Amino acid sequence: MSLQESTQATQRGNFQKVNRDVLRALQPGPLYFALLGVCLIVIAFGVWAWSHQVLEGLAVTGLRHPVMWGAYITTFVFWVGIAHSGTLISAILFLFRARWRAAISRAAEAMTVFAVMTAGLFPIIHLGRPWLFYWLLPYPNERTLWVNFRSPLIWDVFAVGTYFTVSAMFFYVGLVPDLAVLRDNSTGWKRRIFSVASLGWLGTGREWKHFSSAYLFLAALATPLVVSVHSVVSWDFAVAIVPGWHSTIFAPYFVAGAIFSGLAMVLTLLIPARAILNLKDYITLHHLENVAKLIIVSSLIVSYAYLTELFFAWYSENPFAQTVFLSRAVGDFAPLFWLMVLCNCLAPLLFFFRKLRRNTGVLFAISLLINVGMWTERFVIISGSLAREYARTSWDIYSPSWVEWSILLASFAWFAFWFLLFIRHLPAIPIAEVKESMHRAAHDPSSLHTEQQT
Amino acid sequence: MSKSLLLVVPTVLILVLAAGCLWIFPQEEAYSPDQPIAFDHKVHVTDFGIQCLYCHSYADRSPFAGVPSVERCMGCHLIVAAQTEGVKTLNGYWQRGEPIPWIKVNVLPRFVHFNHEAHVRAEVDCAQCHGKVENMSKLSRVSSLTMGWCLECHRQEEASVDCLTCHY
Amino acid sequence: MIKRRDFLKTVGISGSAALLDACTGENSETLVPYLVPPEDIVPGVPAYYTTSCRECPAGCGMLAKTREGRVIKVEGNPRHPIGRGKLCIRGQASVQSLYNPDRFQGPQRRNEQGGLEPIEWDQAKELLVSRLNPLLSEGASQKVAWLGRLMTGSMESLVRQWLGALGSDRLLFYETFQYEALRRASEIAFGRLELPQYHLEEAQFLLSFGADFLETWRSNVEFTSAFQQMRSSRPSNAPDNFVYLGNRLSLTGSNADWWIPLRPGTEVQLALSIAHSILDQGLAVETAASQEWVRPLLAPYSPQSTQESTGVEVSTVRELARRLCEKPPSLALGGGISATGEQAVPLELAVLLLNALAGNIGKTVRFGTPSVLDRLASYQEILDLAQEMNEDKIQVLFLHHGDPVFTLPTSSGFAQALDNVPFVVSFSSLPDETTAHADLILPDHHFLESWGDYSPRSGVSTIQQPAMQPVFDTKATADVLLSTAQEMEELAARFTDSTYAERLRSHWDATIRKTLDEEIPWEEFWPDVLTRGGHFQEQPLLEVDLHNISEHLQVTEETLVGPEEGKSLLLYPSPYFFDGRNVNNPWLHEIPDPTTQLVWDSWVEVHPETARELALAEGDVVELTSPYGSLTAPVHLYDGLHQDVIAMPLGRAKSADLRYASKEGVNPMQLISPEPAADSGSVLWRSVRVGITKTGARHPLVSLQSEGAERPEDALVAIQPVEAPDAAQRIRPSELEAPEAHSQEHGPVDYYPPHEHPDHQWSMVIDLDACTGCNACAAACYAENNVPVVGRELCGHGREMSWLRIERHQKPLIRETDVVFTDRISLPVLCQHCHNAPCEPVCPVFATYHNPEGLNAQVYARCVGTRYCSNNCPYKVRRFNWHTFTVPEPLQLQLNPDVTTRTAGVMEKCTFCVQRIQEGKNRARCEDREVGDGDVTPACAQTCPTDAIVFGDLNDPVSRVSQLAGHPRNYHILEQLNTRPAVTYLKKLVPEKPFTEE
Repeated sequence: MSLQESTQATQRGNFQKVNRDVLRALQPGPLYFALLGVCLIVIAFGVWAWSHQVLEGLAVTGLRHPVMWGAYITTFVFWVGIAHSGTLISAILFLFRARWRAAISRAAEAMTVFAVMTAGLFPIIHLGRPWLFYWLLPYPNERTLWVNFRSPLIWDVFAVGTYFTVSAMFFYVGLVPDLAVLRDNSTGWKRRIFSVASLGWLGTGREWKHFSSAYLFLAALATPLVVSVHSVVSWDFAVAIVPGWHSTIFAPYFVAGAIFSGLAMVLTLLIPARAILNLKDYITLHHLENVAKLIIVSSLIVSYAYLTELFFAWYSENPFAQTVFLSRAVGDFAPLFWLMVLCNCLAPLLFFFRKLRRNTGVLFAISLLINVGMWTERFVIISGSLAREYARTSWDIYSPSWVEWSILLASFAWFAFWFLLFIRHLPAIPIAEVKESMHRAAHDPSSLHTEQQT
Repeated sequence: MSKSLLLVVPTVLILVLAAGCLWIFPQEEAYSPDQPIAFDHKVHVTDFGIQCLYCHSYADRSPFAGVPSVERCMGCHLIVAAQTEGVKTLNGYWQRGEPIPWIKVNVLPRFVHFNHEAHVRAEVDCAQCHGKVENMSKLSRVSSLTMGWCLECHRQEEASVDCLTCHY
Repeated sequence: MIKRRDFLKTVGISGSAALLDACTGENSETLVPYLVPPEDIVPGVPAYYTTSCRECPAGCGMLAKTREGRVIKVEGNPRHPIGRGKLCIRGQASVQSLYNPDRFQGPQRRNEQGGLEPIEWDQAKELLVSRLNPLLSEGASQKVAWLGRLMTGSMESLVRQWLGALGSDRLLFYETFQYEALRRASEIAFGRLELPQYHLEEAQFLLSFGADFLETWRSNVEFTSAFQQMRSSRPSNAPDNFVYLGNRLSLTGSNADWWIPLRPGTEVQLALSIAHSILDQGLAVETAASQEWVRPLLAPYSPQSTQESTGVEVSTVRELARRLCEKPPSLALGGGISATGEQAVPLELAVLLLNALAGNIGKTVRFGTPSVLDRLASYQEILDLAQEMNEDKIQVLFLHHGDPVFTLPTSSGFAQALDNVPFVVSFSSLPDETTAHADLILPDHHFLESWGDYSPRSGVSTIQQPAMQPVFDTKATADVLLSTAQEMEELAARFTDSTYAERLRSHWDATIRKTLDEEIPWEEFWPDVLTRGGHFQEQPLLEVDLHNISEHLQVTEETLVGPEEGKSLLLYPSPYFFDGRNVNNPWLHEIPDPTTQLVWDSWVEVHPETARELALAEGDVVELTSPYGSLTAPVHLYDGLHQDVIAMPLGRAKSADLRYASKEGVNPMQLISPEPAADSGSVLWRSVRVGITKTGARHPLVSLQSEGAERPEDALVAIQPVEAPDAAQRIRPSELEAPEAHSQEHGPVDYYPPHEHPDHQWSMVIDLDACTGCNACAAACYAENNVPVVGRELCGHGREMSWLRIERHQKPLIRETDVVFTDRISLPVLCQHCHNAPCEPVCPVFATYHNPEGLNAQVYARCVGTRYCSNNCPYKVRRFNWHTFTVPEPLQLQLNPDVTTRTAGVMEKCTFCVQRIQEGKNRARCEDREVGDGDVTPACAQTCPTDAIVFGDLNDPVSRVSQLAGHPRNYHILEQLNTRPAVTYLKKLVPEKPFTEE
């Protein structure tokens, strides 16, 4: 047979392999259910801890005058940050035609959606009277009272809300063709659900045409949000007069940090996922290495931001700002500060060595370090600044209580819970896109540098 | 276009509308609890022409209108209608030296400071908030007493709408 | 999928549920009318009653504010000569003694098991009568004794008559802090056995030998306002006219310009060397100096010779002498508790001599107005009584308030003597160390519940009227006496008055109305007395001349018993708890101690140097041992001490079962000598040296002020002092502007247009030069605004709720010379009600906003508790409700009904007493007039004894606050932030030159 035919044959074979592999990933093992169970237990504990806080009042937290924000807001910012790289990878890299993103884009998008779902809980959890949270929404009421649009907290409501809607849409639209695949491979009630969800996708050329334009459109829509959302979140702090918060660099600083932490989280999730679901053929070292490279870049930006902050404090000769940064660098917050420097500035530098950034063990370890480091960074910025404000007579030190720790833990469980459901019920890597890229590879091997044949 | 959307869209719309309406037009069901004594405002006000301030004597000099002391009731009822059921119960309280546990009809939450004196002096008619009490055999609440309801009038009359006027 | 019908149903339910949540929420609240309406009570309208504060012997005039028949606040009585409308922190907190949950709820008897059991009043009286009748039948004499707090007028006459009827005249008035030495000295020097009246307001220069007249010494409110008058008239270029000599820098001391830390026991020598120097420099007034005995007496005390022992430079002594005499009259105050040792009388003599030489007698030191304190029984007399008790001479002992077992030197054996008395009757209303020895407890009314009269000094007779029905099943002691008398047939005839109130009136009629020059009918006299709060008349000044005091002025080396290496123990009356009589009032524990900034607990103050020697750290528990006893207490490092001294406050805890102050064995009276002073027979407060040993245990003390405040470069206080030219630039129109510096650099500073204040612009001016840091304002704020008490633990977690805190800004005291610059600034910090409030824009729900009258409003009902406002408040004055704080019965009766009590999760802060603003405006409106200056006064400003806080309307150009806002000394704290506070501070005047020129 001709070369033409043979390639088509192999390609068809590969395409079927893709279907098989990806769908096989959806068959759960005992480990899976064990993890799911653990998550549910931890979530339950967190819920109990929070109900305790609602009944007792915030005295059960470690918060105190003058440190009125602590672990909760830190965790909120942390999760919003995580949300970012999802969109970055799937949308921005898509716009930049970075083909290698294909394999990990789905996971990244899912991560985005779930991270925002997690982040959204914290502003409510931290309220003194959480049952009145809806007062933060502008709705018509007989008191003719409206929200204060000057307050950054209201900007948050909109920013996070928008981000959630768009990223959810993006996630869903990208999912449609694969839902069709699922529909075709499933029976009974599942089939009915998938057929509804896949919006009757048939895979005709016309549908593909509309699909790709819709996907492109949403990608374009999501991209500016990456910048806007975390800028707005950073304004929660930059707009306030608190020394250590009140700084012009906060928006870019936070966006960089967000992408940085998000990329790390992608590694944290994918490395075990590809092992467990043995998707090594599709999420390859090459992909991970590219993420690692992005991490180096964002890490350097973040480190630069740290230095800039310190420089501002020194150069401005503002005694209050100086006090805050001294207390970070050499004062009560020094341990946390240097931990953060270690995790966010030094550890990622190891990725300059090819050997290390192609070693999944190292990748995983460092990604974890970065997660810790970025949480610490927000903690230092938020409670560290509040603890060293203008009125020296009111200075105090804050450390989270068991309630806050358990709710933080529960937030991870909550996130993991959704992610587990996701990889169990939906294809973790976009079948269609992988096929597409394989197709390209077959015709023009140079366009894709992945080791398909294992 | 799938079936699911056909469900989701109207559902959400109805939710929003329903909620909205409930906020904008609070229900004004007349609240009319049974009192320890079936006191009849109609008889006292319309038939006997007793002025509000005769019984609620503090209304023009205090934040509280005040409910009449049992002594004041007995002032008349030692003689007047002494044999009717209500007055017998009243007499019972008087004999036992107990005050009458009237049930509050117009309730304001703790964090609202309403001042009768100020409103009476501003020549707000009692009926404006309490309704036509003279026609009520059994007293019932006619105004929602919600903040929006207060504001309506305050806006009309160009009275202060500053939060601190009532909330402190 | 869900059916539309079910769907709508659920919405309906949730909707209405939400509605209930949103609006009031129906609840069958009951509306309970009066049975018989008490006249003069209009629900919702406060009624005020004049009475007399009895928290301490000073007897300030008091106004009790009542609502619906319960006292909710007390304030000074403006028409009363003592206090003149002001109260101290103890007076403000006296409502908590009234509603104290641990008060005796009724009469109690000691049963066989030795415990107390409640009984009925009839039983109690029977019991009492049964114990008294035998004494009458056997015609015993002096078998009954009465030891109690000071009484005058009708009450005293009643008790004397009553005791007389029982064949006894043993009536002893007991106060912990006596002034026996001063009385004796006055007798020796001027032939008057009475306390001189001091007139600080006329003094040009003030010298205090450890007399803490701003806190606990004699009549602190009166002295504080007099002190303020003296300070306000001083020249701003030489503002140092108060020097404090003592071993410990008390609150009074830290309000002095200069502190001369004295080696304990050298006060007399210093005083005499100053006198010597006065003669030396020929500054003395002729009348005194010409006396031939003076020079020989002073000869041995030249500054050179005393310098060795006192450690005070010659130049300093000469300077002190010069200042005492350069601008007459001056004033020297002698011997506070801290200086009352063996040498007490000589010291007072020496100080009186100083006053004589400086020509102050008859000007700032006056005689002829005996104080009620003159009638106190000396410690010696109490010991004599204890002696009789031990010798079984006393059959029945009556104890009327006061806690001698706690406040007398423990080793004096008074407790044992008490146990030896067959029948001890106590009228105390709160359990204490003494009631633990009583056989019968007949709890007296609180002074706000009972009739009475009190005359703190001749010419001032205060009426005390019941402001409310008794909280508990207590009885006024006077009525108990009358009714028991009427139940004893021998006495019944002699006690005809049915009630004490009746007797009181007849007494006032006889002793006051009938003695008036012009005839006033009773119908006019009595109402006038009740409204005025008593009857007051000026006393004539008495001319006195100086006797020869030489032979009484032998100066001896003071002997302290105890270990050689030990430190001299200094006990001082707690500024808040006096001798511990109000130890169970939670506000006083929660408000930081003015010198240490500590809350709750009791402690021992150790000089950092001493601590270094003994390797002690803050919070280490040490054991103090004296020859008479020992106790353990946590250490607080305090540099305001002479190194040879350790200090302990009195009465911060008792062993009685009190929920706010119960602690075993912390009474420092265990440590001091039971011996009375040889000459004056008073307690030897300074008599022992104590050994300090580290126990290894730790008890961290809770301070509400982070030590950051001690740093010299402090954010909140402007740099002192203000030079005149600079001051001129600083003057601003009363409209609050952006700081010039800022506007010059950046032009118009605000993006948003300024707020409009059409009707009023409420504003406050706080004069840091007048503020003594006494914290009376803080207590008033707690009382007025239902500010919750959170307790020691939560204070430690930074959850205190105080709306108004007084910060102590004091650099570490450097001791280059013998004279120390105290350099203390007491800074009251409350919500600044900024024109550009950082808290306002960040609130997402408009729970806080700028209201049309310039207030920074906080609407509790709207607050969801994001706490962003507090983060963004540079002054850190916002308080968050971490719990729903509650108070134990019946303390909740004190809550102010005009102020919403806050629940968990909402932010709160100073409101400028908006409820008072509303009331003031309403009153004006109802009287068809404009709101005038003084119609609205917040609780803090109302009670400030020095009028350091002034409140008013900036829109009114003639209001005091408008006048003061443009004062040369004005500044705003953290002004560089352009928050433009409505609170303006006036800088403190501090000396620019060192104390001595040469």
